[in-house]
Amino acid sequence: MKILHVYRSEPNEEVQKLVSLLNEGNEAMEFKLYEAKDDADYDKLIQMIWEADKTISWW
Amino acid sequence: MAKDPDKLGIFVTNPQYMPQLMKIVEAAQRAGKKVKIFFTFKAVHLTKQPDFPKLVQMIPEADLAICADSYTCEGFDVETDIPGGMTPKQMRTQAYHGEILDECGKYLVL
Amino acid sequence: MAESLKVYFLIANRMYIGDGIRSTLGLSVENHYSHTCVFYNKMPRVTEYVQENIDWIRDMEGDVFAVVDTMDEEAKKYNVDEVGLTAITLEELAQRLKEADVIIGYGLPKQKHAPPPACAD
Repeated sequence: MKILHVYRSEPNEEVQKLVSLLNEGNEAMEFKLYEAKDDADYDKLIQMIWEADKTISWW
Repeated sequence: MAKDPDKLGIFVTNPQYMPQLMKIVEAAQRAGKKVKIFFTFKAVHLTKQPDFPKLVQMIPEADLAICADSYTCEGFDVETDIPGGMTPKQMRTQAYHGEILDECGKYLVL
Repeated sequence: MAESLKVYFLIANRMYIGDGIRSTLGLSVENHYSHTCVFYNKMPRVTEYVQENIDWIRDMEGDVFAVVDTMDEEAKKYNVDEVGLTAITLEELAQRLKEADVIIGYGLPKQKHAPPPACAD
């Protein structure tokens, strides 16, 4: 399964641990929403959401 | 109802991402995708942002709603203060979140 | 009839706990297996309304968890022993999340400061 992790703010230790456990045996992608700026970044986000089987958005 | 593979459900729980939400909706529409959005709890404050009426215009009536209970809990009036451009039909319950999960092939939380 | 999904609300911010439980219940009554996972914080005052919501979530085959290894001793003891949340570790939660259909990072991140009296209840 392909998982997309969207980080709304910088991931803390617990988020990093959960992400690492969830990624075991899966293909993972990430998108840092807190660093997104221009339209191209958001086009990329949409492309990644459709590429992923599941999107998880972290605090 | 079968899930629509070209529809992104957005569950907005957070009162601080209006510019990001606008850009996500614009990007989805540029890519030929549809969106369905539900605002809950503190995120209903986004209805007071200057861009909110523009967002309402970008999305069909059935695909945008706010949690009426959250709106009341935050001190607003669900009858006399319906946010910019919305209709009373768009003042909904948490069941709308269930509709998003049923209908949308893709899902994002803000 | 739509498919029943396994849904997990993850709540890091204390102000979002009560509403996160309400929103969890909102999906329970839509026939999903809906769960709340409280991270870090000692629960705010549990009103009769919140307690009823917790009970109802459990009646609908969901649960309300305290992620105990993210909490200090006081929060852990209160949330589990007094409020009756189900204790779960981060690793155990990860195993459940692997089976989940929907994972919801609900609301704001963890706050750094303890709540002032104005919103401590």
